[in-house]
Amino acid sequence: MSDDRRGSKGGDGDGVFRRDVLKASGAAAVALGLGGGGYASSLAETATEPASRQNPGIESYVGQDEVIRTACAPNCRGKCPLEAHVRDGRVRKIEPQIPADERYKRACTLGLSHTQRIYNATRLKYPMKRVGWEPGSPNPEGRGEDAEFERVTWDEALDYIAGEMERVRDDYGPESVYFETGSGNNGVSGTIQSRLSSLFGGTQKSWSIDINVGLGFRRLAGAGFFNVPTNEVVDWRNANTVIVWGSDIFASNLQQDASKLLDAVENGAKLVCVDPVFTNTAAKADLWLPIKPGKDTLLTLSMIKTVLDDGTYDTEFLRKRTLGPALVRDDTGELLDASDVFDDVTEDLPVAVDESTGEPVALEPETYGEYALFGEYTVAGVACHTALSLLEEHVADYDADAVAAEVGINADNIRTAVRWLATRGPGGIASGYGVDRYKYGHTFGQAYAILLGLTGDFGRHGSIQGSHPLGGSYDNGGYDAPEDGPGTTSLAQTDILTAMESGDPYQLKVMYSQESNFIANQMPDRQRWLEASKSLDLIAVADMHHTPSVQHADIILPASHWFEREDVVDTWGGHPHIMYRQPAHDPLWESKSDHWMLVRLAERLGFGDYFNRDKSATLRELLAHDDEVDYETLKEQGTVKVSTPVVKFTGPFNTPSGRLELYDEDAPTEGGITLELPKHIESRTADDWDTAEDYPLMFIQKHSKWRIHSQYEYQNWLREINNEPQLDINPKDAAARGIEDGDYVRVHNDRGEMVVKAKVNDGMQPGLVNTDQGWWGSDYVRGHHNDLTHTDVCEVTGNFAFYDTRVEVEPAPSDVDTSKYTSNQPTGSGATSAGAGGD
Amino acid sequence: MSEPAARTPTEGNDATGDAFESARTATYAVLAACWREPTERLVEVANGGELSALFGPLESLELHGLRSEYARLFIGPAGPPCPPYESVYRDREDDDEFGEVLGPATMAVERWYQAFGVEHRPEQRDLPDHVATELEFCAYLAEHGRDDRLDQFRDEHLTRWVGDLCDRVEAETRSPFYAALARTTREVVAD
Repeated sequence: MSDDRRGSKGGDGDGVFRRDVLKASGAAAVALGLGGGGYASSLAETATEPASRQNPGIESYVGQDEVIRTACAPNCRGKCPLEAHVRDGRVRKIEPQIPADERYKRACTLGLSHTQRIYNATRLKYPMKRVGWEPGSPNPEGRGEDAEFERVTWDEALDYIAGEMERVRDDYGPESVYFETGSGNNGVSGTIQSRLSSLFGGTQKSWSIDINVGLGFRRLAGAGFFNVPTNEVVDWRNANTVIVWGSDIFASNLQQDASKLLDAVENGAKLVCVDPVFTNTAAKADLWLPIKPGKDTLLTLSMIKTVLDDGTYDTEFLRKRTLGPALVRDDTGELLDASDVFDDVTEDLPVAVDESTGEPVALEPETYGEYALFGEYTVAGVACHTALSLLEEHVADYDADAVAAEVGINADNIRTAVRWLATRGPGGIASGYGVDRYKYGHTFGQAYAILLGLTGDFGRHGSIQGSHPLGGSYDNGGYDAPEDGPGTTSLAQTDILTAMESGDPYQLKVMYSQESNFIANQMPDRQRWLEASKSLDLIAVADMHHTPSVQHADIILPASHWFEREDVVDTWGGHPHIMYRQPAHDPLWESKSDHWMLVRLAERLGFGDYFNRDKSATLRELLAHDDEVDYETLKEQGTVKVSTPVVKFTGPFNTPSGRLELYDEDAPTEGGITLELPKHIESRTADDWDTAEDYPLMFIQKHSKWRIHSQYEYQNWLREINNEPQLDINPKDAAARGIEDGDYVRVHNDRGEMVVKAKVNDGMQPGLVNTDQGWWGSDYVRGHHNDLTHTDVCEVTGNFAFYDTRVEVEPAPSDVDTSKYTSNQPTGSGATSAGAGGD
Repeated sequence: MSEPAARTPTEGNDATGDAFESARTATYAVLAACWREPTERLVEVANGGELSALFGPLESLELHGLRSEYARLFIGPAGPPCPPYESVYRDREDDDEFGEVLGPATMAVERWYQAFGVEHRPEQRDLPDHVATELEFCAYLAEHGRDDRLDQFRDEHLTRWVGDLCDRVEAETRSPFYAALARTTREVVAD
């Protein structure tokens, strides 16, 4: 063929493709083996009579829609029951499903946009292997942005993984295989993975995220981990005062909680919002307390003082259900022990003084007496104060007027808020995950547990202790930890990091990750994680989308969308149902459910007898042990309501004394500071922090209403509204740096940087900047928000402190390349560059 | 649409000699094969010079590199920058975005297949409006002497989106083979 062929564009010549070219293609076709119908690799003769003959003319769709029941998955905790309208085998519309308890018929803009996830052209389609990775020759330096991938078959992919797991088990021990799961889904896949890990003897993580406040609360109330258990949200309408603290419910909990909070407001509740940002929730509140970052415990201490000064505490509750009247020894700081006072008491019980008799009495749980709440007493020769007296003394310096400037809130507003809580009847504090993300956030959990103890907001209708109603789970009969396996070793996420870095406590060599975008996107000090993961010989990642973590994988496993899976879904306490997912159609391309992958991996590892390829049978087995839910009923109804207490914290507290332990005699320490009573300890939010001059701005990463963690990356509908990461910055801070709205800015500290567009935003207080969390590396002009965050954690909970981060902001360098947002790239394509989605 | 001719793709002509009903059949068949994942045979044939009549002179191809480039352009995991599906280009709300797969355009294509007695093989996990499959259908129509219908199908479908696809491929690819395939496909579809 001559060169004149080249460069001639179709349609602009004489419109006739050259005959000799057409003729020449015959030989090529033969050479390619396309003769004899050999070209028909995708099309086959229809076995049945063509539909057009059966039903010629215009087709009617009336009555042809199938409506299937399914449920949302990502971890906003809403777990909304959904209906998918399926026509011609495709999901065309998503609507809220009416569950067994129809008060929980909810769905949000994200849930309704699922069609744009299922049918997204960017979905992962086939198993792939990184070019340059081979068993025994992992070439970890080749991971990352520039990695290229080639297709492999499912058998090849699973053989590679099983082979590496067996090799690593032999060389390093089974715990060197790390089975990672995130919060991206909540069907049974996590349970299946846990079962395999347990049989294999692998490692799984325990959380170092979102447990700070909950664990602080737990020390006093005996419950709390991910946040704090609270009354079922339909009961919130009985609250007369709701203090939403560190949570933008009207943006990030649009599902169940937002509607129930509005019910409370409609029912006359006062809504208070404690947040450093003027959020959607603050905008709807009767009173907004614009707290400075990291001052939450200090504010709570001043509220405690106000209640004590006002005398508005709940005497009956304090006497019956708390350690408020318990005597604390002046000499040791421990609770006076009843066995040291009474000859006939051998139990480990605290002691109080009965005001009517002046005599000491042993404090039983859930027992009312005329106990002295305040005072000094000498009992059995031991000088003591009541716990409440110690508390009173502890908060003496925290008058609202005294702390107002430091917490950034008008003193009258502090008093007004807590007086509403103390005097308007039932109510409480709906804490979110904001305060968790400060290093010492657990002291806030401890402090507000005390405040709610003073106001008596436990165990009655309208009580609110947090945002986690609990319930909505089922008994799987120990399926995730079968007795005849060696069991899973659990490592905190902080230890996963050091294990990869230095083999402490032991070396990790293989990671099998599902429904998780942790390692390359969601972890603080992301570059440290990426560097640490180079010690892994294999990273296998199962996902629906090309997340940054997928880009860092050696083996990529395409996972199906939830609506393509049969599944059973619990609700993590968002609402009291177990839900069923009927698959809408087969998974697209070669994607498979996590169950499908894990079962075949288990077979290769010799555990095939413990699993069932039949998903329905697996689900039936998982539900067989539960008293309330069975597979057939669930499948027929779509949802089954499970019984869970509406009102939480009734009966004895799950503590040694059975009481709310306002005074914690076994308190842990932080940097040598003991925490019998909550103390205001700060890290980077302190004004005198040693890098405060270089990095004067605090940097938080809020949850927005356009994402759930790092999910919903490629939805066009969402991208139209929220197309790129931005830095929310107060007008004064912007002006001081010569930054105008819409300018690109460089945000940096001693760990890293990111370049984003500035959004000059009055809703931010001076000194505080924000970039919504969840954006991927490919969304940034440069850097990443988690290149700025750090892994410095407190001693007590080890919880990552994402918000305890200092930065400085400056105009972006003039040579910065912003073309990804200025050139004509299809939105939502994920195709801005070859390495899109990498870092 | 009328019913299909009686013959099926699998009982066509001999694989040897003058095997094709028409040069059009062969052209579409070759293009379809080239838009599929590269095979050893494709590389052999290309390196043997037998595709030069269609594509012009080509540098020597290497299967591994060609497969990587194919994955990068059309499969992923990143992007892909050139999704090879009709609905992505036609069923979009704005020109500056990619639409969903399996949209109304896909359904329209499937109805064409159905009306002519063929269907997308269930075991073929790619989507029915993949450019290779639409070209394959063109070959099928040509083979069965349905040039009138071929022209109609081309006007209703291929001409509406393949130009966009080929533009993206030419802009994105590092491979002269895919640049040539895009150029030639654009011409054949427009012819």
